[in-house]
Amino acid sequence: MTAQSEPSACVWLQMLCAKVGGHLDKFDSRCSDGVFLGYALNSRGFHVWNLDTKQVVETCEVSFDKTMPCSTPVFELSGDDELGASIFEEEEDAPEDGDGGTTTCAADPTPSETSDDDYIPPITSTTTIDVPSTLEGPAADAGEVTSRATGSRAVQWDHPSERIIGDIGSRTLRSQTGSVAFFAHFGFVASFEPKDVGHALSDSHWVNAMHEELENFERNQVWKLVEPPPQCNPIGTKWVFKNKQDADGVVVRNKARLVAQGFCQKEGIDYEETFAHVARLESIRILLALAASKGFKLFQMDVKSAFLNGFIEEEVYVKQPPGFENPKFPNRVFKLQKALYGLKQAPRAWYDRLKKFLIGKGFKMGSVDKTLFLLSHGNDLLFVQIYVDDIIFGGSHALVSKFAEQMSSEFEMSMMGELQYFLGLQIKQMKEGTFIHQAKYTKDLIRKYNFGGDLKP
Amino acid sequence: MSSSGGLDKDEDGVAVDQKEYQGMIGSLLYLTATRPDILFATGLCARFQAFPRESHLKTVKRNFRYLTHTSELGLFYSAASSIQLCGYSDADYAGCKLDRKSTSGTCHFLGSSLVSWSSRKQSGVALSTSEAKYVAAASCCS
Repeated sequence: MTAQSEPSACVWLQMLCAKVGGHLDKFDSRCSDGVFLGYALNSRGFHVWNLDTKQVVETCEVSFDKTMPCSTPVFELSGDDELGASIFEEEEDAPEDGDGGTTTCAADPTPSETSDDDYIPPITSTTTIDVPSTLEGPAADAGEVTSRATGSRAVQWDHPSERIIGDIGSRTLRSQTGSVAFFAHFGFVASFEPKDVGHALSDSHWVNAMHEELENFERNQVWKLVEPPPQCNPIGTKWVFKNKQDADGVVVRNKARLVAQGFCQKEGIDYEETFAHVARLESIRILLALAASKGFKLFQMDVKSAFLNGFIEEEVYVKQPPGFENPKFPNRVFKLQKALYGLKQAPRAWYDRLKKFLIGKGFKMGSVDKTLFLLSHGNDLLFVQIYVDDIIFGGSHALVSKFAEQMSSEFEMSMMGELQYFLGLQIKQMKEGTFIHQAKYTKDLIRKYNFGGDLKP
Repeated sequence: MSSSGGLDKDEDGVAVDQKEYQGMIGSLLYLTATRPDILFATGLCARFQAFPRESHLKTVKRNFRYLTHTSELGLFYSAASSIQLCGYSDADYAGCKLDRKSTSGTCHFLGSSLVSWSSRKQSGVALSTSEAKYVAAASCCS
């Protein structure tokens, strides 16, 4: 199973998919070319990379173009001709290194597989993007075995060189990665969401995601493995799996998060207060209006694994994560030094950490709104508004860049940029002013409650 | 929608799925973050969440029909705006058909930018329009 879902396993087909939206002239082409990427998870459609829009779409309105051999570069429209073509070449070459019996390229219209009009690649039993005819031989077997070794790090190590796409030594320019990054990426994510740990451990992508989370813990020095003290009642831990999707609903990241089962905690014994700091919408709007009238731009940033940054005052012990128990000390427990997602005191601990950091940098906390921080430096002003792990900030140019620097040196930031999308509000900052609306949310609502098709947008 | 709304308990009406009705109200309430124009209508429909009937669902649907054609509306904060805070208030008189209480509406502008607004049924029964408006003005300043 896993052997087939390895990165080398992308199917390249040329296909036509109906052009949607936009104004079309009488003689304009009604279709656009696309590349077949895989099968949709919840419908009978396909995942298609639309070469015109450079986006991945899920559609069933396609016709497979079997006249076009897959090795023909279909990247004529893209600026990355060479890289695209080189991927195809690698795709064709790769299987020859293995047993040589079958070919990875499903687009090759062999007469036995093609009927007349609608040629559809056969569906195999895998959950991710598959090659209908799989690699055979030692490489595939090795992949199969290691993926079953649950929780073992061997999964990460086993990458036979013949199964790596492209030349490892060659350099990739940043400009080249743009549209192709997606292809490379698509082979690296699992498209399902496991319900429990056992299910997740059977897929190498999810094992990787879990390793990533645990490495995150190590890096942040979240916990220490200790002998359980007497009368300690360690809190259970649980894995939560979530697929991150982009705006078009395509899975872009597998996210595994280890959470503590905080519902076992008792108020007054295990924690004193629980509290999450959210900003009021009014104060966000006032900040937007003020920024527009004062003529400064607002930016947003997002702290990666924010709650893992908070120091906790209480002594908390948690059990070892399921599937990743230490084989030498299965009975030991982890003593927490920082908060874990799910703990009752986690949001508060994070707020305290951030508050101390900001006040240490000379910020003043708002007297009414405790989530607004203000830094004044002569005539220069900097506003910082906190919404749990989202931070909006803006002000004088010098202070803004200094603040961004300070934050990224103290915490790990995952996203930084102009404020565009926040809590479902779409924000457009222009010279003449700022426009905020919820068009996307409204349209999603109308789609959700369509009253049996009565509501037509 | 007129302020009298024409909505009452409609006890003889056909009951509809309460969970879905509440879900719609919740979604609409979040939409009021940038849409003060639907605040009153949403608030009115929200009063019937305990026992939603077909007539109430029809009103919610009417709200959605309005939204389908106005989904792009939002708030504009002009760069030329001053930052002078200014509040306005108004009230209807005995707008609620059930208990004859009035509804106050308030809004606050920062220069020309609308930053805060509310629409609430008053807690007591006002005996005159001036009393209703006085209560609204008081709630605007707090």
